Amino acid sequence: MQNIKILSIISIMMWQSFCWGSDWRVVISRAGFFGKVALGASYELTADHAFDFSLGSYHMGPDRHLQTNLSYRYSRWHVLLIDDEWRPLQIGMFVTHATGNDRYFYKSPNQYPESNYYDPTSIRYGLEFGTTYTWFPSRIGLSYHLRIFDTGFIALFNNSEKNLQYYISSGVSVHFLF
Amino acid sequence: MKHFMLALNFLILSSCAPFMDSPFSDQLLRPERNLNEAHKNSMRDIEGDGRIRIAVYADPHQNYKDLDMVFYDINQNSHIDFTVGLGDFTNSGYNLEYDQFLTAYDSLRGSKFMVLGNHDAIGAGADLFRKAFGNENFYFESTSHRFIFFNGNNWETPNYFDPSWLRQTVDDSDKPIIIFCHEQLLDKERYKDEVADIFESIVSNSKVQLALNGHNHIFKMVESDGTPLLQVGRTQGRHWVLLEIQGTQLCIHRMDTKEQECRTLKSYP
Repeated sequence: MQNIKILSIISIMMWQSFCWGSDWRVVISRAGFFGKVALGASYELTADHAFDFSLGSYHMGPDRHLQTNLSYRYSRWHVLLIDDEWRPLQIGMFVTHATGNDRYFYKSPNQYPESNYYDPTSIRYGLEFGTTYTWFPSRIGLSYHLRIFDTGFIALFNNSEKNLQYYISSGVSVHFLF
Repeated sequence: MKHFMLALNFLILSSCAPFMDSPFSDQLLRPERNLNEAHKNSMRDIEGDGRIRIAVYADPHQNYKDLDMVFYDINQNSHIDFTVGLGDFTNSGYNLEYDQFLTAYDSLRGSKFMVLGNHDAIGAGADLFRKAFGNENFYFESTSHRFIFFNGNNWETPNYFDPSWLRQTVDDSDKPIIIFCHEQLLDKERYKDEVADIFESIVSNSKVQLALNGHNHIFKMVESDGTPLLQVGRTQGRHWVLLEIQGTQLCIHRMDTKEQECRTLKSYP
């Protein structure tokens, strides 16, 4: 059921991107809180605004689980270098959701006295900074992303002298622009 | 040129960020493994001067600033025999919270042990605890005492929750016992029926001299069947407790308010 929902969302995204005549890319990414490896699609409503959706995988013991990632990205600057395009600094936000793993939850499960006994653990969000270079005519792109996890802001708020080392992750992605 | 400088700044600033796969995985970036076992094996004779001194703190969650100050205070006291953290060093048991705590924990000197808190046990937390600290139920002995560390998280880790292990470890001892657990053993909301009966019989056991817990964030001392149940408050405000045990005499020093209370413990045998 969960997979059908995810496939439906991807289908709607692709259909919308065709309808609006916007660019879309297929993306394979590594790390950056989006899973060991994540596969998904990115579509650009305009040259400045893009949405990414991907499915990532992560391990818990011997088991592999999926997470759903959604991000919005704003690209203020576009630099044309002969045929290629470089977006030197992109800014965005992301949401990631642990999918189909009952050890993460939105409402605390039945064994707890109240449904809000714990804060939701299955969904997290944060900020993203990135840079993307796309080669033409091959239409292959390479991105680097730096993501900051929401709990890092809590830690930073509580602890002014602490650095954010473990609340920041690097991620790289390769994409093909259709 | 402006764009190049923007990108260069960004890449320099981000060059220290690790590649973290997922906040939901059981991946730890810190290298520490089986810390409780390592410290247990490296314990010296803690009763050489006839006294046992134990530093205890609880529930730092994400308040690393307070935690750092507590660790600084403990490090200033060279007479402490070992330190116990009563759990809840994370909010949601994420791997990155474990990594952050382990960085702070590294600064604490001397023998140190950690108990699994309920917040540390959700998500991948219990697996991460096993990686970093080892088994959640364990004990060690000094010349005169047995110190038992118990996982009381029945809701969060039903597969690792083992009241019969605690009963057996108490029964097997021929020395007086001190128990460390994140939750109070007589927590009526959490423990019911057979489990509650087991814990009541453990607390009333003549060997059990003292049971410590955190979880509720406030300092509190109650007594049941002559056994003191000491609840240590959270680290906020530099709160931690120093226990001094000499024979059957226990002195509790509350380090944030400098209050002190001494009492006589049950004698065994």
